[in-house]
Amino acid sequence: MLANSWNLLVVLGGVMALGISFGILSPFLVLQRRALIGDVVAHAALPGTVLGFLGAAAAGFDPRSSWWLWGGAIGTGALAIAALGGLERHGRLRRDAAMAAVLATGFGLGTALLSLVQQVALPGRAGLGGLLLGQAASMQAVDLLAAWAVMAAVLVVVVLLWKELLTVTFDPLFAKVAGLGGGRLEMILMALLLVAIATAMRSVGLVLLVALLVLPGVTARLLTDRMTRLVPLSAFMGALAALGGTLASTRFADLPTGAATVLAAATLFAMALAVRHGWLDRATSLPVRQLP
Amino acid sequence: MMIDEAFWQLDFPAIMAASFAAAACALVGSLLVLRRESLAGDALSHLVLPGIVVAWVVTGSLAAWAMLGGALAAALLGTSLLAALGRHRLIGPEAATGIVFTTMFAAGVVMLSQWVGRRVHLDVDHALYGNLEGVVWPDLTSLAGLLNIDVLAQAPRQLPMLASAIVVVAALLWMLRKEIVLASFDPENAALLGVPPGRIDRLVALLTATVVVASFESVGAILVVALLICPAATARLLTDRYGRQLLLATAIGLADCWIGYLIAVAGPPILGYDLALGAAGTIAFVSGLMLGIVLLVQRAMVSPGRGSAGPEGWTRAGT
Repeated sequence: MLANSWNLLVVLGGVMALGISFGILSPFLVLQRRALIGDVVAHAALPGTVLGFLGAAAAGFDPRSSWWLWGGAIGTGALAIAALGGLERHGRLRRDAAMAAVLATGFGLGTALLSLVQQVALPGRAGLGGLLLGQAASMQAVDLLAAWAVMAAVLVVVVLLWKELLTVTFDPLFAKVAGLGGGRLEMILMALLLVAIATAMRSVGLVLLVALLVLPGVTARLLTDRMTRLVPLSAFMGALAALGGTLASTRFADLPTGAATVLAAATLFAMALAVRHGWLDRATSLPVRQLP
Repeated sequence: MMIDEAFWQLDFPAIMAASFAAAACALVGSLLVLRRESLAGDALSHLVLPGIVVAWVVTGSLAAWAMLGGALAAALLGTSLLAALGRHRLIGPEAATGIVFTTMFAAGVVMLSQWVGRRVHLDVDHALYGNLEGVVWPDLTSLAGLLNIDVLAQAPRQLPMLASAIVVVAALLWMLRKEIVLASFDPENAALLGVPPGRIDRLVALLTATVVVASFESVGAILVVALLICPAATARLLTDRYGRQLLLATAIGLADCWIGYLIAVAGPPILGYDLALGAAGTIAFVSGLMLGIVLLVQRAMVSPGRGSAGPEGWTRAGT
């Protein structure tokens, strides 16, 4: 699928950086028991991406410009997080209903707008088709830079706010009492998530990036109980899945990188599950013959 | 929108398909909202993909029974995986959902790309975005056509599929109403009284899968998620009674469909554009908008802190 080695390097570097960013964020979301928030944000980022495309075209810029698409995605993604908070605070709807409602509403608007784009002749509209399943091969140098910038931001924030993040994750009540700024910390975490999702939309696709937000964290959680090991291990799992998925998609024609990456991450998860429960030992050890 | 021959051939069947889907979804969706399983619709609509692809490869047909069979098999596999992983101490239900549906969806995408390629029209995009505009009924040229048996025989295949889904869902919900309510609100007591909650869980999952698959082709996965949850959640804001919840959700779902379709078809021309919005997406957006409006109106009218969200706020009267 990937023609030459420069392309391959760009894609590999970009997808692996995204895998690491998601891998670092994943344990916090999983441990806070809201692994699917990324699903909601990613679906709700679709209308923003299309609006960004239309906005760029209307303002006379190149509608394929990544900046406009990212800006739009972050905009409606943030709206979705706000709407989610509003629905939950109202009190009568539970979180699952609020999440499903926001997800479907945002995505519905996105598909309605996409159908509009398909009826007008604008250059580059074909590029929007890959938002669902992702087109890693279309990654450009700017996407690579963005992925690395996001990774750096995630790393810096998590290292600097390590203690606070741990407190909020494991003891939100204490964090509140101690005045650790749960609200602000929450906003920082969501902002990181938003930016990471916006930059990953076109390469991994909005359905499949959810897997990279859940699988590495759970996989690492099966293998260790210590947070100082869990987060690096999760980042490593994300990078490994991205490497495996990208390389697999170069071997087989038409194999989408995003889907291959998810299957690689799922394989790692299954292996961790097997290790945790000792299935491998049992399968490889010889059966003990029972005496009559 | 003019009521002419084209209306009966193009718009009417599309509105009917959306309405049928809305009715079936509202019934099942109310259950999902009450049982706090709202994300099951989202998960199921994705994880049936590999089942549909395998069914297509094995039988070589895109007939309704093949798709439904494959999808239900995938749904059974997916829900058992979900339940097993969700019980795991270190994983939990939400992460399990995220793992199972994305992995099965990715497997479906890979199967599509490797086995099916671009040769046939088994389009992921259509399944996800929905193609309400594709539900056409060339033989229906006027209202009277609905009474003509020859015309009825030529109905687009989505309509009988959706109609049977409504019948199945409504009949099961009616016959098992006591068991479902008991198992959903008070699983421990239900087990004591001889209603195994696990069996009801599987039944709800299967009903959801049936509705999702029946609606797949016409309204698409995402509109299914919207129609499952948004009308049911809107009704949940307005009533605490089970029976009223089901009726109200259905009515709201139908209203969402009609308003959404009207906006999709008539909206852009009114603004002077010769375009149309995708009907499925617009309906999904309208259903969410309706939820937001009801919520805001309610918040303006009711003093804060009054509404209780728990099952304790529910009465079993009216069931």
